Amino acid sequence: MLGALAGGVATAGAAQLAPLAMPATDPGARFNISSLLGPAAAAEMQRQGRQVLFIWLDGGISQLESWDPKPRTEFGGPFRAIPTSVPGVHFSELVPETAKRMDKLAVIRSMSTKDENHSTGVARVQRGDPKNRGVDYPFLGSALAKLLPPPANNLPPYMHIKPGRGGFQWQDAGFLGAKYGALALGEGKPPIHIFRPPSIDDPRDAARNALRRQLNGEFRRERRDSDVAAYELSYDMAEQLMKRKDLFDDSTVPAADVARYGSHPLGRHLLQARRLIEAGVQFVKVTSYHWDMHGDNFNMHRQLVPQIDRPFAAVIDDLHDRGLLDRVLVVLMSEFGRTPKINTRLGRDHWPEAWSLVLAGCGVKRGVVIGKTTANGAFCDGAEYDCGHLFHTIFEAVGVPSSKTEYVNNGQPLPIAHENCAKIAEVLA
Amino acid sequence: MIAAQPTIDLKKVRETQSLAHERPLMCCAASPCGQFVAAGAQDEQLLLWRLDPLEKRLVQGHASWVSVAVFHTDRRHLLTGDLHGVLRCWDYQAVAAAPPGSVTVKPVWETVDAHRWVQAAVAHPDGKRWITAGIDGEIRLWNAADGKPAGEWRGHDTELYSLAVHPNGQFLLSGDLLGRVHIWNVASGQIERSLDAKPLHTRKDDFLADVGGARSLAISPDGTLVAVGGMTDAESNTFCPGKPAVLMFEFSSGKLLRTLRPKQKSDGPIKGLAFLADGTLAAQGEHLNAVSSLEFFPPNATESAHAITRESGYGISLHPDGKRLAIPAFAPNGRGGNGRHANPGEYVPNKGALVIYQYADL
Repeated sequence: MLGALAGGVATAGAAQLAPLAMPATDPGARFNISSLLGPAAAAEMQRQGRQVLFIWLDGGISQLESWDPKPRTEFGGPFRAIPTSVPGVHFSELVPETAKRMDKLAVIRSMSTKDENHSTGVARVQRGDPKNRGVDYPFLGSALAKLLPPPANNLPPYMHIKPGRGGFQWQDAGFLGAKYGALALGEGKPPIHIFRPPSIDDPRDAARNALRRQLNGEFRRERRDSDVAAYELSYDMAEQLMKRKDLFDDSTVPAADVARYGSHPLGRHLLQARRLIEAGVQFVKVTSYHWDMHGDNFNMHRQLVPQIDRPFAAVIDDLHDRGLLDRVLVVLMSEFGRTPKINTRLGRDHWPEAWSLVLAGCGVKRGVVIGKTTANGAFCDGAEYDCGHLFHTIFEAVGVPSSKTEYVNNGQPLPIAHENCAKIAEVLA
Repeated sequence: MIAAQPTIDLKKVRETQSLAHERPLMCCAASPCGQFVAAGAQDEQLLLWRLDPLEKRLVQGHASWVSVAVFHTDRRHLLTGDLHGVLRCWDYQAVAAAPPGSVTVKPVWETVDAHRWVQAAVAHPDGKRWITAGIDGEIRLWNAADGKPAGEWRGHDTELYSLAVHPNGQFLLSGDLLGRVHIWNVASGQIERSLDAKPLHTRKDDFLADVGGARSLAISPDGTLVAVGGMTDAESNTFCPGKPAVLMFEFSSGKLLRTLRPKQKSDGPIKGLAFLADGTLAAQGEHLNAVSSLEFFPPNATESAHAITRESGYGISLHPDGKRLAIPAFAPNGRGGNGRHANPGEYVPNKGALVIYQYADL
């Protein structure tokens, strides 16, 4: 098993998990939230137990076919706009269920991120830093695994539900070090080998773990501590997950919940995400691929958008009904929007100039629209917000003072969000 | 039977007119009298061109893309449908009587919520009804005189894309998203049998949506062949690229005779099909890079004998003179693709054109 960590990289497969705490020996971990805020404030953050559900539609959902419809305009497309639960605010007819929950949402309609390429756009938006600083910034989940107080439940702080294979996504952590990476749950399933073979009883398991720790201790003498620490922590979290097999037991999920969320991947994955959030996982990311409709955009949106509309509405309802919206921040976004211009294949291409995203939950206002686009939807009309603004806003919403907090990477202080951007005050409660 | 050898000289096929419009055109139809071509556009307008002298009239009234335009054989009425599910029946002679330009005229009748999206329409062989199909999977019949519901045929459980009436007037064919083509007995409203065009549908494990479908249908003039257009082997539900194809069936047996592929490299579905009088099949497709083609397949051929490269087109309508055909088409306007590539004032929508080809001497 030790061989699974090659060159400081934890590979996919078994329950190799991310960290529980911020050891002072980690080069990316000199910052400690309690040292900045003081013990009382840090304790308050711990008490608040802020969590994030981050829903990522890989590619770009069309803002015109979702949160910022412009029917009967030159770029509007064929769909209607429908009223939402907030008077005067309209969504596309493709999101009727979310429209009924607009009173619980904050919609930003003036995102302008400028990067039109997948290859650079995904990392740029999810790392939140528009500036090339010569280091890889952490993805949002890794950042918050670092910045939020460690949860008392000892569950992996950053879990990623995605189609396909799971494993450990150390790359997400950037300069923070591998242990802040994501535990990816392929298809929402638990890591393989989470179930201890029956032939290994408790004493034998304890003996094996003791041997592993001893060998790791010898191994780390000549090597970078952070790599070994990440690997050891992955085992610690595996132990915690092994105690929570119930989180992955589908037989306990009411059929009515399955019906509300839907049997398609996004429905199943958002339902699993809700269960992880209920269990206290600090940051749960749900990824859905193939939102990139360069061809047949309108038929595809007609088929795809309901796959996010219904389960998103369901998860908002469930978090609200359980009182969790007061401490869970929900983010629903893509890499960019889609071109107002409709191409020859009746598709829409990449459009970072003016697009929309949705927030809900802790720290954000409810029932508000921030920013607007021009009458034809092509450009922002007024203030524009980049991913730096978004990161400031998210950090502030979960209680991290975004402009006063810095990472320290090998002695170099680095802002946690772009210093030329600021929080979007109109979003924050 | 259709001719064994084509009698149309494909080398003579040429574009004779390109009638511009401010937005792409989604459908078109030539009138039985041959004087008019109607088209539906993304700007929610019905366009009516008189061909000689050339005049253009624009009729507003729809609130979404006009997806269907069909003339009645009574030489008086025209049915249009849109993507809000609205049907409108027009007295096109009244439209034509107005001065060219924007015309204010009321439809003879209007039906809202006919379908979720109206995808196809034909005149019933009895002349007294219209038959329409939509993405709700329903085939519905409407009294031609007043637009009142006149029946509903159920047999598809998914989105419908295409309709065609057999030349003998006894059968209606309907094609759906999953590549099923049902053959309906017009008299009874029952499915007699089906054609298997499932290769035109793709749903891979990692797709979030069904891609493809029987996007176009045509029946040979002698009624022996059925051509079903679309694309096979879709690679994703994003770009939706695939291999454009026409599946040619024998009507009597339902046997797949051959699969026709365009000569030009393109990646979108065949959305327009029409048999010319000698059995040559004309097929029009889409391509993401705006280079598509109008292709001609001689009778019994598996390969295109002639291809005309042009912008994407979304259908074909034959002129009753047997010498011309019309394509509702896309026309690029300014730079497209990812990103802005233009200042706000220069970011403009794409345009459209009704393109008329002549394939025999007038």
